[in-house]
Amino acid sequence: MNPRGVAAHNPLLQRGAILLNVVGGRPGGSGVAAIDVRREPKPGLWQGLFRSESARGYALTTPMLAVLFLTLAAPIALLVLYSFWTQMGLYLDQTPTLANYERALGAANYRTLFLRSLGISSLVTLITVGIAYPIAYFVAFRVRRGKFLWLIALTVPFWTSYLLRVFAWKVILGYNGVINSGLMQLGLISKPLEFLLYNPTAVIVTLAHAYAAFAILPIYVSLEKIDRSLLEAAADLGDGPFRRFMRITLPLSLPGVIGAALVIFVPTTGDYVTPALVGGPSGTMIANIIQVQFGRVNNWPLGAALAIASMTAVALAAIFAIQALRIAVARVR
Amino acid sequence: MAIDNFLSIQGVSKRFGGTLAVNNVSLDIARGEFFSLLGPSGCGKTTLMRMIGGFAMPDSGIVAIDGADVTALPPNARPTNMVFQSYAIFPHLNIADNIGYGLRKLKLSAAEREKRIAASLAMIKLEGFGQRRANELSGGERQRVALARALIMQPKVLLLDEPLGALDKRLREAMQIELRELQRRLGITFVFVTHDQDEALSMSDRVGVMSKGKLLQVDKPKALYERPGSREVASFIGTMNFFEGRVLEAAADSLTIETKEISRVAAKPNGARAFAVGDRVLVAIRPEKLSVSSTPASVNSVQGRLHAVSYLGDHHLLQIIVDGIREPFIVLAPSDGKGLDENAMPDSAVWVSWPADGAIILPAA
Repeated sequence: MNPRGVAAHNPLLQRGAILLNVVGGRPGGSGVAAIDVRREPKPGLWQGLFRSESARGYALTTPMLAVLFLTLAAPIALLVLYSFWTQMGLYLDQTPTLANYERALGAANYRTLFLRSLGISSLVTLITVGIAYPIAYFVAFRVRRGKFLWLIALTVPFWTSYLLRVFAWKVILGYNGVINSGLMQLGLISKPLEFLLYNPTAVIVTLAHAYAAFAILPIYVSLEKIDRSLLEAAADLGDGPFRRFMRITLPLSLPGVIGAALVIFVPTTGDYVTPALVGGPSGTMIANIIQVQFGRVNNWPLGAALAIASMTAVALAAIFAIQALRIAVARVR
Repeated sequence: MAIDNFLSIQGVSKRFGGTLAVNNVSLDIARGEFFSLLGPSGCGKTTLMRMIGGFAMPDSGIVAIDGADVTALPPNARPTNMVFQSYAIFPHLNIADNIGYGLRKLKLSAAEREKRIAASLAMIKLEGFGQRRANELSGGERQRVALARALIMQPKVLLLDEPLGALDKRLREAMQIELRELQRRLGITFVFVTHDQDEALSMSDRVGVMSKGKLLQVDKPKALYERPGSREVASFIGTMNFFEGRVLEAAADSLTIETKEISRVAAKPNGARAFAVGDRVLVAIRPEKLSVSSTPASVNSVQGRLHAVSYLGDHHLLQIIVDGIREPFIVLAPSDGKGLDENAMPDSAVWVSWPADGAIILPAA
């Protein structure tokens, strides 16, 4: 790269050069350099900042970065700090200790909850992406007019609150709920089915429905972007519809699928409203316990350790799943 | 000329909504022929080609390749391959995998596959590019990859959808020659769609001119240029001066045509068409058949006003306005001074003339 270019784009460097000339001003040698500097149009610091692409970029992202720092980075840092402390009744012992992590990772009941949470959210992710993909595919490839209306219609459930949607499932799956009373009216069962509500299945059904639109949109966008001539080229080169889907459509929509999976997997692992309302004892998830630690039990350090451990587990699971998916799709070729 | 019907299109029509995109087209293309479909955009040439490739189903008619009816077959079951206008290089695969994409069906050994891909890369002079991605290639290189990817399938018919349209002029001309050479060497039947008449004329064995869904004329390039069958073909291929008239005398080898603006015009009948006295006709003259002078010539002379002169290097392009004729006469005069006085001024009076066999006589539409 040419050094002049660097200087022109970096006001600090430019300033530095001038400063060096002034401070280390030896007669003769520096004179040449000084003339050189004077010849270049000398951008002021502000002018230079306005010209610099990266400075402008940072300026635009600063408000968001500030919000993120205050509301995300700072609380997480606090959480990490808390997780190394100990609750002594109403008093916090600030001596660093790993005891909370030992308890969070070592106790069998917590481990069960971790695994159950990851299992439930994995299933929810699979089911939701599995249902969302055909819908997104249909809207992207088959709907010719009124795509926009379709997309609006698909997000209509989101116009009501999350809590209401969860309660709706309680009404549907409940002891005297829609399904039970319907089946009894039809004479198919004589007394209400009890296995519908208050178990992991109810949690999975409710979460899958709640997150469906989150999955449809990113997948739709990635499908919509696919150049139709690529599909024609694949057909031209001998692929039938299924082969073509596996070799072209799916790999090219993978970013959307991964985005959708993350958007579902991450929040559902940490969801506590749905398991609290429809999960029952067997459907309790890790977030319910974390909530209890921060609330009723008032053991913030243990809650923090559980939260950090849960975050790490989610991150590792997500990275692992994405890599596995990438490799699997790449092998289809 | 005997045309064997290796690729045979019979009475094919295709309607999109209210418009007839392809209107009852019948066409036979010979084995190993370089055939171009030429026409302005929206004339139906691409739709016709897509029906040969199986990307669109004709509403009526038959498409047959090498004696087999393929009308109802999907693209993956046809012995055709296509070079797409956008090249359609798969962005998630490298160049080698792009070229070898269609080989999967042949169930080759890994070594055989590698060998064929390497040979294909060598053919398009992109050795060592196998591991690159499509976005690392230039337009010309992508075009060659698209070509190699289609040719590696050894199709009976290769379809090319304006493949040179996105290239700059110099590269386009080089690719025209390269494509033509490749086609001769491989002996594969090429169907080439273009709106560029120079491209069609310079590369093809035969050209089909389309307009508004109809196939107007199919002929060799020279014949199309010298004996266009209709005003549409004449005006689409090259530049043409037109005026209308009526046949006054008709003999075996000469015609006399009466026109409102230019008194009598002597002409020779060309092509197989016969004219009778009283027929309304269109006189069409190529710019290079006209000559310009300051005095009238012995036959077919008309006086006009010099409107504009453009210098084109070896030629001058003159526009001459003749009273009563809407479009100015376009004349291509050699720059060697024989055509016109160097110092001819705009608005000066000049005579435009042409030999009796210089005009093409067409029936008036």
